[in-house]
Amino acid sequence: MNFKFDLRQTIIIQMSTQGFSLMNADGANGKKCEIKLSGVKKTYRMGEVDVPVLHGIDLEIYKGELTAILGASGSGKSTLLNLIGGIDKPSEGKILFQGRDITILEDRELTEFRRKSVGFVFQFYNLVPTLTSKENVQVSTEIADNPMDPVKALELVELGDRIDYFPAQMSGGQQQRVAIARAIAKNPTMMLCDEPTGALDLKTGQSVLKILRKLNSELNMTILLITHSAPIAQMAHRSVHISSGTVEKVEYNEHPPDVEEIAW
Amino acid sequence: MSVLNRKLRRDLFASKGMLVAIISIIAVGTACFVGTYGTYRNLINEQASYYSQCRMADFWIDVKKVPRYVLKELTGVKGVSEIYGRIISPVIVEFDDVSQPISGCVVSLPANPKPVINNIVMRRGSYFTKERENEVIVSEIFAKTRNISPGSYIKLIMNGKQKELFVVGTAISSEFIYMLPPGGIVPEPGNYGVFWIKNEFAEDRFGFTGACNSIVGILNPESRQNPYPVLDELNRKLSPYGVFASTPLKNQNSNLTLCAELSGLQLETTVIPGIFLGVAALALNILMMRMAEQQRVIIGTLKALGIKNSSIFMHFMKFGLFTGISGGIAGCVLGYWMAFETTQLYASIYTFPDLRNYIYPDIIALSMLISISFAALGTLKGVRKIVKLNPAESMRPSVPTSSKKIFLEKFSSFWNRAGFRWQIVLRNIFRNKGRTAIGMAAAACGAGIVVMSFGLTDSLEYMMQFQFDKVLLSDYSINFRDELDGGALYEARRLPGISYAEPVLNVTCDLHNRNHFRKASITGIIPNARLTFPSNADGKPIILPSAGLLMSGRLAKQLHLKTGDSVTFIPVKGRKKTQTVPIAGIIDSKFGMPIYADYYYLNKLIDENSAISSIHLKASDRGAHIKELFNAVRAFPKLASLSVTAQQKKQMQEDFIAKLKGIVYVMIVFAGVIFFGSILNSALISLTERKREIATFRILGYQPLEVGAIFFREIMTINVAGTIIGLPLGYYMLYGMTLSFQNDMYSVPCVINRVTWLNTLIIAFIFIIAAYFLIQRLINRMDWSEALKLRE
Repeated sequence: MNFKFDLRQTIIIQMSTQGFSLMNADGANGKKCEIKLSGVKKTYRMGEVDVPVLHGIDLEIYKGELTAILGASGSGKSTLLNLIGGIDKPSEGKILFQGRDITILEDRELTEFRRKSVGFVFQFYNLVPTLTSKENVQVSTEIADNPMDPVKALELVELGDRIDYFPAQMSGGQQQRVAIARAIAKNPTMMLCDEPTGALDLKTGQSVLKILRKLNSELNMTILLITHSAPIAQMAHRSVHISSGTVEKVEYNEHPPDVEEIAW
Repeated sequence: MSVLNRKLRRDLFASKGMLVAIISIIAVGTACFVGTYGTYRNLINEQASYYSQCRMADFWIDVKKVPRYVLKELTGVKGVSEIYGRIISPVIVEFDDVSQPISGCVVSLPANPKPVINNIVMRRGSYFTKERENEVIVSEIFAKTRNISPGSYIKLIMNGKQKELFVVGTAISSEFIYMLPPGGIVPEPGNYGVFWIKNEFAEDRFGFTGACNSIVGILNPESRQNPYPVLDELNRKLSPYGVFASTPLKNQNSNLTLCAELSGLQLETTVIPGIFLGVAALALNILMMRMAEQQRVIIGTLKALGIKNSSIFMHFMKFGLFTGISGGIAGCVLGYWMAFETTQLYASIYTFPDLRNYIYPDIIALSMLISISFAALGTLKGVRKIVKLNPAESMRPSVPTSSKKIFLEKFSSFWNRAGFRWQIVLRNIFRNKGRTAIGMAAAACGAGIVVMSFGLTDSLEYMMQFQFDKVLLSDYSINFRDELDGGALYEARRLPGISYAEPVLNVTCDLHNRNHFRKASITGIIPNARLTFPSNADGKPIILPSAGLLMSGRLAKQLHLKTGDSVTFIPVKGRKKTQTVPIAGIIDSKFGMPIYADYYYLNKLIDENSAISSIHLKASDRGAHIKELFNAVRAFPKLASLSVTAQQKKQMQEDFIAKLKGIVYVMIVFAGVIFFGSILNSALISLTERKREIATFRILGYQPLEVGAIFFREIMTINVAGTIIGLPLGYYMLYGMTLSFQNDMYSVPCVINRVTWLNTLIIAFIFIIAAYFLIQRLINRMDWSEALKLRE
């Protein structure tokens, strides 16, 4: 086993073929552990074939952190995000959210968990095509306990002048910003972003990343960002490298660059 | 409004083409239910009300003559609640401007209005007054047809003598809802009337002072289910007075016909609506499955956002419910119209005081419930699978359907020659087995309905042709009140314009076989008869045996008899000698349940020589001497009626077949809704799913027509296959329907002419082409370049 000990961050990272575990429960800068994964595995049944995707993940995500999950296509990063977000269940292992094991929750309880605690942003936006941008945000706010005003959420993502536009009337970047507004409008505990810039050009992607950074820094939102792009991962406080269903390494970015400096 | 409801509204609008198709099918199914059930309810309520108003009898007993004081004893028979005696007799109506002898019957009533059994309902004028003895109340439909009004006079030949009677009013009675003349097969409103006269006048005219010849009665409620023991006891008590016939209500002609119609309607409330709603549910199932599949990612996203499964499920259920409610409402409106039209049709055939169409809230509620349930069922099946998936799985593309080769590909020489267009079509058909099966089922149902509808007309026309062109070939029939001797035949042969005359003897009798019993009438015809041909089921004449009976198959079945068996025969008139006679053969008949025997053999059975009940005549010319003929016939003694075959045929043509054609055309339109709706729905779904495929073809340089041709092949293959399956299905549907119409008075055969098969294929083809044109139009207008931007 190899250890990397960083006194300033008080993180002990252990690399092994089974994954890694963070020994200091308080994490970097004394932040609270929001999510803890222990021995998480996932195998999919595709027709007649079993496809193992995650082979045992141990990971902790901290409150207010912007964490990037970095890996190539097929590495299991989206699967990991889905498990953390409670939209799928692991085949083995535990996932604790604020100390509560979400892997044993019934479907109804998982729905409540997602409703209250999780905001999702998908690669292809997943907006409802027959609803305007305001209405797409309202899909979230109508079920939230303490929602933001939909128009305010859209203004936060600089779409205050597009509230009555349908997705087909907006560019990819604008649609993604609507998706972000939808995610934050319910004031979730954390945001899970699956390749949010994957379908966008550089400039548009940068504008989306700026918003995510803004949310993290101004609202102290915990953000988990899936990407296959190493430059994008640099904007995060931590990059968790996933390969072949395991955590290969974890990197800490002490000085994440400005979004404008990131190019991919 | 919840944002999901807003989405629902827009999704509904975006799917309007498919929805209209399915809603139409639901509407038609609901309309058939509301239309037939509403008509049924109109009829049955009116029947109950009318029977109650007229105090409809539970039984009729016709006797030769019985003193009224005997009736008091009959009231004491267990099961009898009330008895009423009256005088009934056939009469001939004389019109100055009509040469044809018009027949009718007189029925006596008390001089003062009383709530007698089989009472009348006055329609115009008044009941009898004290002013005259010879007052008459005329049956309404006869009076209307013959322009008889209160205050006029009519002449009746009663008991051989002409008498002028004063018309005080017109009336109807529940006893004559469906008025068949004696020996007739259809009502002839202008050729047969009922005339109500005062009891005392009838007694005087017919020599029945203190007596009657028709007893009607009401039973206690507990005896109504099985009146036969009571009737047997009454017959026994009345046998010294010559019982001709005893008929429980269920066998009374008018009631029998009406009840047969009602049970046919009852059957129709389930079968036809069931077909339409079943097809609609299947079509909706396909639509919702495809919609849920297309919105798979959205569903997953909504779940990921925290929207509950139940909310998502309800969102899609609302889609189905909207379809069910819309179709149900449209169907109720259409059904009300159908019930209105059908009720009017029945009002023209059956005489009711006030047969109208009403709105029945419970039928409306039930039909809405049924249409919503079918729609909900179709939706449930369609979305349940997807809604159950966890969000991540839902957001992943579905596992591709099998990409294996279809079985046809094993026949490589055929497959290679088929060309890629047919390969695409055949693969689509065999890889989407569920959708293909539903498409074929809808086409089969549509074709089946067309076959059944046309087949009903074919069957009725065949029935008419069988009766008038095979069995009965006479032009006229003279019917007598009582038997005459052979001299009447010589007179008949000399009638003007007549080339040939045949005697017929009708003997009413009781037939017993072990514990099975029926009252029946045996018709004796001469050997080598030229005007009456007992026929088998294939329409081939059966040679009349010199001894024994040729019995109708339906009657033989009721008596549990077959060829070679023997039956106990007791005539109701004359010496009433009990004899055993053999069953010489089984015949087919579309009207009634006739029994034929050799004329001379039958005469011998009743100890007669050459008794004649009626004479069948063949005209030598085409009505050139018709006036002279009618005048001469009028002179016959004991004349009861003169039947004119051409008039019966014409009446049947007008009353039944012409009116049925209207219903047939409506049914064909409905079948078209199934064809059209199903094809359109399936094709629209296909177009949505295969936008990329169409875009690819267009990019490669295919013209819209060439792309449409691929769809056309698929539509044609599925629907032609379905139509071919629908042909035998239609036959069985017709068979079931004709079975439901069967009763003692008529039996509708199941006949489908060759041209009907051809017409069905043509009609199916027209509907398929019409749907295809619409689809081609959509292909022409499709923004296929946009389709390329769609994410898989």
